[in-house]
Amino acid sequence: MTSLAAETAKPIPEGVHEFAVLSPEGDTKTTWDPNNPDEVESAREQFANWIKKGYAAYRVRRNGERGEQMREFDPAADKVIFAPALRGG
Amino acid sequence: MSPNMAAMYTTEYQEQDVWEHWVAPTFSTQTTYTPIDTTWVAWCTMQTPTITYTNQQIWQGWIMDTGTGATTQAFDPWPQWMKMAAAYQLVATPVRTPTPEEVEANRLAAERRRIEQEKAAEARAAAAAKARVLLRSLLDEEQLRTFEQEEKVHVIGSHGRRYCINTPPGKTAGNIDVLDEAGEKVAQLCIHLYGGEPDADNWIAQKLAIETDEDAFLKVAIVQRGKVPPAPEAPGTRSHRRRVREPLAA
Repeated sequence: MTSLAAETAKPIPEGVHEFAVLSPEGDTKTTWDPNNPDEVESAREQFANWIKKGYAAYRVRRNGERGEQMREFDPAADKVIFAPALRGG
Repeated sequence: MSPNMAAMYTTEYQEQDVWEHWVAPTFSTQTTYTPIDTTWVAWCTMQTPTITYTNQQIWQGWIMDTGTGATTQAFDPWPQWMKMAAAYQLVATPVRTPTPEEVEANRLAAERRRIEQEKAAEARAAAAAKARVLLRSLLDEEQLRTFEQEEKVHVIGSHGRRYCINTPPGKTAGNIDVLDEAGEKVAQLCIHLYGGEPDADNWIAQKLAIETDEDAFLKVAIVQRGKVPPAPEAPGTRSHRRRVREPLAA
């Protein structure tokens, strides 16, 4: 496991929420505190930006349970993965 | 201008005249002329002697084939060109030994390229490892086992169909099998990311799309083989209740 992967595998502190955006460099993570109004607003803007770019937002569970696709920002979602649009062929 | 060339500019000039003039300025198939009167010969050389041509002799004259008429080497352009080209090449492209400065500059440039390629390979490996860590965090125990031991991840769609995402390294296209209730493959789908994302990111996107919006997923996927079966009847639906009350006839 490379040092970068080890860094990525570190657990997120309890109470901190996370966005992970899939990209050619692997996923880019952003964490934010749901109790901080400024960080919540910033997260809301990021969410809207990625949706506008055509990404799909998925709320996922940390224990591997089935997630759900998000159409609107939900500050209670603790882990969200943004994936570019899939294409056939 | 010779009397024969003047015929090109009179109303008596006929369409065969171009070709004939190229090889011989009259309609005769075999006539002896001085070279100055024939375009081809004049083009090739201005030397005499007199030469006899037929219509085929353009090619033969070109390659120095004396099979049908008398020619001299002076009228054979191709061999002459080849001799001249060979001599010219020896003179025009002398071998030059690079200077010590040039050798060092080339070595440094090759070294820079090697370092850049190594860094790019390291970045790709790091991205791939990062993506695999994220994928593993989304798998349950059984999915993790089949991912690591069999290079596949079984997924249930949002409408109940069963899928197998095949996950060998490099496999991101045409890697999704649709399974029937017995677990047999009935269709093969091709749908993936197009931005150069690592393999595991492709598999993540496929898994999440199948699990959360199977209809949208199937609308975009290309069916490469087989046919996607209808979604299983979900318990609680009217058709399911009707089927349970009316068992199949023996």
